[in-house]
Amino acid sequence: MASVFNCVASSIGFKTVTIATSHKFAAKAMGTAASLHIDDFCDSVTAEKAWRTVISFLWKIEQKFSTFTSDSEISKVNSGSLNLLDASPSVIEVLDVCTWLEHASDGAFRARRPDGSLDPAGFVKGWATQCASRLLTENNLKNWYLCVGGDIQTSGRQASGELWSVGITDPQDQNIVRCTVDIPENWAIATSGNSARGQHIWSADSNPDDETLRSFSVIGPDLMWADAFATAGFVKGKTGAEWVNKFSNYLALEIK
Amino acid sequence: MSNKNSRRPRNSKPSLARQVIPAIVLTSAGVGFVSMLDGPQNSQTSLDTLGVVNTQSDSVNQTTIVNAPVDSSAPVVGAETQVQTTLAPVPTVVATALPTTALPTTAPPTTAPVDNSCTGDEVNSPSVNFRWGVMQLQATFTNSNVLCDVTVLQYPNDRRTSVEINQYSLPIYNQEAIATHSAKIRAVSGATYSWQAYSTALQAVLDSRP
Repeated sequence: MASVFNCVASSIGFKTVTIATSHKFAAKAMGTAASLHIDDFCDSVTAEKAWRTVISFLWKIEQKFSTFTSDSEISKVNSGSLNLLDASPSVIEVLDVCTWLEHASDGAFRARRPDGSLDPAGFVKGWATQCASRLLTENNLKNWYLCVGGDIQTSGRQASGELWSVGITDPQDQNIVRCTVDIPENWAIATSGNSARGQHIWSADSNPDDETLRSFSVIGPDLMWADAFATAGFVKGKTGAEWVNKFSNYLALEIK
Repeated sequence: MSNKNSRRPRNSKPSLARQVIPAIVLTSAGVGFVSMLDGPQNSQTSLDTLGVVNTQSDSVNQTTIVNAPVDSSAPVVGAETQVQTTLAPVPTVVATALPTTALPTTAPPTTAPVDNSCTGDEVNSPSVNFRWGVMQLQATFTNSNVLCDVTVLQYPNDRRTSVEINQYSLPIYNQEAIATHSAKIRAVSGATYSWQAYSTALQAVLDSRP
């Protein structure tokens, strides 16, 4: 009888460990929300461990690159207390890519504010999300997506066997879906727009009288490029889609 | 005799299988019971909010409110007869719930005469720029607002590019066609929202959906 009682007790204790095909997590990161949906058949402990690895990585990157905190490396470089050459390798890597993007987009992509100070925020989010998603692969997870503020890196498929289906919101209203896209396996989607956060994109050659709300999405294998191309393509306006088409495997999708 | 003696200690301590099998049975029963309690509580409402969001954002709140009382009490017509027969303190609750929201919003679309002729509104999708060109769809609706036809208005006519469409297989649905696909959407992409805005964003609904 005692062993039966133990079994019942342990079955109640088991409630915290569930095995399922859907695990969902969300938390604040980089000023926006990070969401992880795992569609692998695994136990909740494994899923939660993977999520904690991802979110703590995102927080670490945020700490290093944020322009909102004075002790981040970017802020220190901007204030002059840290020489750019003494910055950590990841900061150099990010700024290196940003420089390449500035040239490749003929100045549409900028990682510097008009006053010359560094602000690679437009690139860091997509790059960090892609790096964080590699940690999921290292944790042997195969079917999931990681979404940070509307930029999404997917892997595999949904538990139903279908491709990940992503809705793209209306630039006028964030809660209306204008079209949905089935993301090819392991691809990513990023959207840039002047809808949600005010004018967080600035550019020397952007059109000041262009006040139409619009959004510009890019679909492709890597989130870091999809995100950067979306930002640059959005700034480029009419020629944006044509510019993105130069890069093989990256598709542009504009909504007005 | 020696055989009997050697069995005895085994019997006093039950075998591993005897310990494990009831443990598994009881555990699975317990887990099943708990998951039944945890089960599909709000899947219906979140599905509704998603489905309605696309077409009439104003009616989101109304329909979600409507669903709750209807599910818990009885069909709308049945509730009315209850009011007449019982006349107990219970009907006052039903009476306040009924006239304000339930009847006007839900009844007409479901009971309206079905008109299947494809002669209703025509809606054009936004032009979608692809690597292979621009694509635009036109959706036609029946008078009872059901999507009945989708025509491609603009389509790249180069043969090479249409091969690429098959290669990438990226089905795009326009706004109204999404009503039928909304249950399928798993994530939302858009211009970056703030953490404060997340609580009301579609992504939050998808994250909380069971």
